[in-house]
Amino acid sequence: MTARSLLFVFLATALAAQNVRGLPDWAGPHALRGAADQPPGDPDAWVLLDRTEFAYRGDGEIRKRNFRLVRILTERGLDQGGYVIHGLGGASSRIKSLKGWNLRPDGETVKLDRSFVLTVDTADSARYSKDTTTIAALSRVVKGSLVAFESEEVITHPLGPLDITYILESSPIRRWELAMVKSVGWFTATSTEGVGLRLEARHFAPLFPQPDARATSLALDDLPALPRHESGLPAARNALPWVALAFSDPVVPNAIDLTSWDTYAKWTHATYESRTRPFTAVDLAGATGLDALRAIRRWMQRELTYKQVYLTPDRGWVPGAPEDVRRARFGDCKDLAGLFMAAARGAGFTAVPVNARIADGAIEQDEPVGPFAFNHVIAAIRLDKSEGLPAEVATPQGRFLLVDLTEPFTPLGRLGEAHRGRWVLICTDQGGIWAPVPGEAIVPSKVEVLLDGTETDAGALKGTLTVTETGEGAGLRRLALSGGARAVRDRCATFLDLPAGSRWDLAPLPDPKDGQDAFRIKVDFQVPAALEATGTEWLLPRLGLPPSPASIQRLGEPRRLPVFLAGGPAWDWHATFRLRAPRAPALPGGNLETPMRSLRFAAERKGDTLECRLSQIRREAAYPYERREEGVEAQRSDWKRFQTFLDEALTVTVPPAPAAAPARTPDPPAPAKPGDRPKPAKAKKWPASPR
Amino acid sequence: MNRFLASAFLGLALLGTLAGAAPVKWPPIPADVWAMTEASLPGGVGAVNLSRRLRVSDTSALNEFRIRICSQRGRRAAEFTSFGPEAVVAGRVVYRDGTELAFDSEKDFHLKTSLATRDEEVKERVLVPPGLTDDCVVDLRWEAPRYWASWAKLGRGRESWDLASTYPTQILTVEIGQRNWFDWFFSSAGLGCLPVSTPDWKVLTIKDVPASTEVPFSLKATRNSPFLKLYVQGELIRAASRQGTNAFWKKVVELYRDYFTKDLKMGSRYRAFSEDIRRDLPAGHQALAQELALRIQSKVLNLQRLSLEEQSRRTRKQAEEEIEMKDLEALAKRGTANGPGIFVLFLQLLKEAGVKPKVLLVVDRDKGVFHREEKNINQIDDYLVSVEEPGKPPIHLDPTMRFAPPTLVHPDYQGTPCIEVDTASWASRFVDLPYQEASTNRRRDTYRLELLPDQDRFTLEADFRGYDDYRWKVRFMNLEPREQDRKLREQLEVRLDTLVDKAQVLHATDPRTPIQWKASGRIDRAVGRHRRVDPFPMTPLALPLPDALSEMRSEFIVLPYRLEREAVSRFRLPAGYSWKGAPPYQRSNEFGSVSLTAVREDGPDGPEGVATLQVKVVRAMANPGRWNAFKEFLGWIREAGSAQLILEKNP
Repeated sequence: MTARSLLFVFLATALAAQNVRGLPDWAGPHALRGAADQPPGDPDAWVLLDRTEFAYRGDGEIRKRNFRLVRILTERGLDQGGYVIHGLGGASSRIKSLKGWNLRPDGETVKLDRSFVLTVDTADSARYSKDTTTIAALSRVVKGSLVAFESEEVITHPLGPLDITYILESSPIRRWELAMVKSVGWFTATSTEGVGLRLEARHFAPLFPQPDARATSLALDDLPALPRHESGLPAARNALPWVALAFSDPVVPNAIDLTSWDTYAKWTHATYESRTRPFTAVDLAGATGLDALRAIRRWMQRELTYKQVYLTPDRGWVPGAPEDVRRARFGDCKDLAGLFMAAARGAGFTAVPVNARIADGAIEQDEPVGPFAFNHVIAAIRLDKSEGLPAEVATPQGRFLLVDLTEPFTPLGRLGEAHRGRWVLICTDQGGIWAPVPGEAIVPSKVEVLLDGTETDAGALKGTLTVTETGEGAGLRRLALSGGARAVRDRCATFLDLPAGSRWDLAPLPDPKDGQDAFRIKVDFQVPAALEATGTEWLLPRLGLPPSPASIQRLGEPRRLPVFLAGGPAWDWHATFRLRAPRAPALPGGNLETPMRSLRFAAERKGDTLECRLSQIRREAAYPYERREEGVEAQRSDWKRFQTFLDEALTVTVPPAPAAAPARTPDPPAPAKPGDRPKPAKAKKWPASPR
Repeated sequence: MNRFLASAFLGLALLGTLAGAAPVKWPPIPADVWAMTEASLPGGVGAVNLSRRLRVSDTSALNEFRIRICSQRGRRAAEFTSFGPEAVVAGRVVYRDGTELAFDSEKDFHLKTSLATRDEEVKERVLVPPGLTDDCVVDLRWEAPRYWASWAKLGRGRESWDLASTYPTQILTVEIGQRNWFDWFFSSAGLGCLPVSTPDWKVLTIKDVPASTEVPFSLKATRNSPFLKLYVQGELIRAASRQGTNAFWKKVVELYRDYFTKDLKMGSRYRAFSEDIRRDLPAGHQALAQELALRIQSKVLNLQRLSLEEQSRRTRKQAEEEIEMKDLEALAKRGTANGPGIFVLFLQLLKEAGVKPKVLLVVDRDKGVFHREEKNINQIDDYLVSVEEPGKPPIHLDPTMRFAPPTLVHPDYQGTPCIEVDTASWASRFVDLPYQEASTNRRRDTYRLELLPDQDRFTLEADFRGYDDYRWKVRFMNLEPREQDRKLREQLEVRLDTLVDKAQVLHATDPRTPIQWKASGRIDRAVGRHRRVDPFPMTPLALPLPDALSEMRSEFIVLPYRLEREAVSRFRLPAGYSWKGAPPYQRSNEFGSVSLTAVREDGPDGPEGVATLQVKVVRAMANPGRWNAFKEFLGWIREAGSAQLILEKNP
């Protein structure tokens, strides 16, 4: 280092030391260290410190203190002058203190004015709750400001002293710290002796070294920001670093015992057992056995709706009393599962709760014991013998039938797509049983499109599209239930890829809750052009074909996170085009195989009629960190090949003239062979443009 | 006992009554209600309000609903979740077999905090309605106290009800107390209304109120949505309102006259400022007014439109300074003003320059339609200056729109009724503020494309005029140049298959020069048997179009503003592909015109394609009967605006 550089560093440090006096003591050193460095990349803000302390105070109470220092680098980074705390509301959480400082580059320090602290409820039309969000905003934050916040929350979680925290955020972090401590205040009588601390760091590798399993505090340096231009991502809980922490306090009443999954399952079972006494929910009209279960299930599907109601924090884990749920005619997963369990018991069955996770990532093999593994509850019915239903699972504790009460269309014995490939924890009084959801239990998700169109004299295509979906399909049945015919009609525009200038009418919909396996809609349509001229060839319209994939990575940017591409419904498309003049398919048949799909296409001409068939199977594809670029390239190749394949498949040409055929009784045209090239159109005979 | 005390006493008495409310006796349900099915209900929304009643007085507001639900979707019709903390709510669900479920349990109601600050905590009573099925009738009633007597004493208070819900209503009844502290205005929104007066109540009844939902190309104010407004105003203006409509609006104009011209503080600094800013102004009144508005923009910082950088430079003292809009002396000293201060300054400078303009008191059409008979000063949302000159149409100026072209009128004020006030005599009249021509608002995109084997490279220059200029300036004006460029780049990179490697915003903070963009980048393409060319990849459709449009329409058609769009794209034909151009596309009707041409030309390096898209929107409003013509026009916009050119691979 040259003398000049040393002088510069000295002066910078002295200047910085003078400048950071407006900040609290804990922030000063980090502000000084951050002043000498530059953040990686070109971020809008740089978090110089994010430290969270979880202090256990006894009686199930956690004091959560957060210290956060941010340097604002751009005008867009000004939103870091705000600070957000999410709370469970009610008596479960309260903010004990909240302070903020804004040290501006001109040396002025602005402290947080309580007038700029606002707490709002976060419920929406789909959810009733007492959850709150507290927002604090510092005033006069400018580019170059150093913004510090210090908060203390008092949390008494209904499940006991535990929490979970994710680490990465949209800004890079220079220093991240987390600490668990047992703390006894001056005026706290409760002892924390005997309290155990458990901290589990998940998915730190390969971004960070895996911490010591016995650690109760963590510290990381130079954390990158979450990428902004990447999609096709695995769920955060399965790919990004997070931390689960728990204090085990034997004297806290009703807290979950997190010693093992068995103890956890027993707690869950006991919670439901006490609230799901045998109950007659509906008149079974003499039905017994599985018929009784089917009757209960059908009644619940017709009469009850799924709705989240968390008006007190503990409602998130405790089912409503069956009689209350029956009266209300709605409930969330635990309420509906509880009512079903009570009704099944009333019909002579043994029923137990089952913890599950749908969407938002999967439960992992070495999942830490705790409630955050799950986001869903279903029910299991104990069976003495197999009833031949696909959703049965055989376990060391016997055979169970899994039933998800939030699925409005799935019949008894089957489960919805959300459970595909997942594990569930069956909770009995003996302990927990981990079981994989049988693949055959999942109602296959499929879309069948039948297109029958005729080219009009004006060159338009007029006809009927019939769409039949099973399972989740394209979500039409669900949309019919929630939005009615108008919503389904509107969805047709994008779902069927109807071009500008199209007209379409939707036939009356069947009752989405009619209990049938398949849901069918019928659309009468007219699109402006049956054929789109390209020069010597024409393109058929893309009505009702599987949707085109979109890019998952900003062009030219290296991938930072793993790639995960979900599957999708199987798709069968059968189209009949009756055209004004004969056209031959450019691609009589072909296959497309990529890691994400298998696609088969065949086309045949019968006089002026074209028969086209396409079937597609989608596959889930996952590429971990070390193969992420390969995943991006595979997905890029997939969408390009999909596009060019469909382009080829929908191309039609003038058919070759039949050789020396008798004028009055022409032979049927020879079937086209793969590789045949079309001949140029005769411009005189057919218009260059269908318009 | 005076009226105020009597009213307050009644309010307290009502509270007591509400607290101990007796069980509600619901009227019987006619048998034909049960014959209704989802298919027979209007609107296809699964439920209908059989009746809705609103009764308001100085001391209470009572709401009653009877709802027929015929499907799961219709259950939402009965989900009124939030009521004031003092509201007394009662309800029941009645089933086809005659059984009923009353909302009589405390567990159906929850008190929660919806908002808390240092100074206040807002609580609301939440009803989670139990027992709803796909085939039931719901009766719901809630009443809450009101304190109009107190609010009238304070001289402020307003409340309004949109009386069309998202479900159709068969019978709507509104009852308004005859002797109130508040003034009120009721609009039947063009629906047949039967008014009846009793000694105590004015009763207004409307049958078959359609559902009010978000409809594209419409204004809330022009939907078939009846509404009721209650309000109190200052004693002075309230007295005028008792003397009739003309007297009321005359009083309003007098108040605005005083607001703009009375008690202005002008000293030596102001006089020097005025002389300086008026030096060498052009001769004609309209040119003078425009130049003056532009000079004000450069000499007076508009504190209501500060950039982030300007905000950051202001000291705490400056930020907390009280701005007195009539103190032109201080304005001249500081060089800053708020919006009203700039307007007052502009009027005064025009006067000193010998121009006696007109002032227009205007209404924002997004907030409501001006009703002359609604004697409510709060209808006025903004004010403009109008300058006339012999032989020319008047120009309208809003000096508070920072960086805007001086004669731009915000589209939300165009085509709406307003009050025109002559500042020479302060006489006024009601007029319609005209729409500005389509050619006022223009966007022109110029592309050069390079078609590579699996990518399209593009360069784009975009120019804007009129409201399009201002609209984009508003989006960028608060940012420093680097951030403007970045924001543009991200805006163009909507899809991940697009990379913009250069983006530049020019003139975002220059009122004399329209904003301009320059950008270049590339887009990933799938190329096979055919090569699709998107000639205008960054150009949005001339109007924002929803995916689907309804078959029928009962709401007025309202377009954002009249406009013109042009996009020109030029590309060299890649080797191995042939293309002969495309047939010209030209359509027009009463709403405007759409044209797209794509021709093959000989360029210096070989054959080139040139595509030109032109859209003119010449109509700003139309009655619902023109829906099919409008849909057709929108279809052309979509068809031409999203057209792709298809090149064919040579055999």
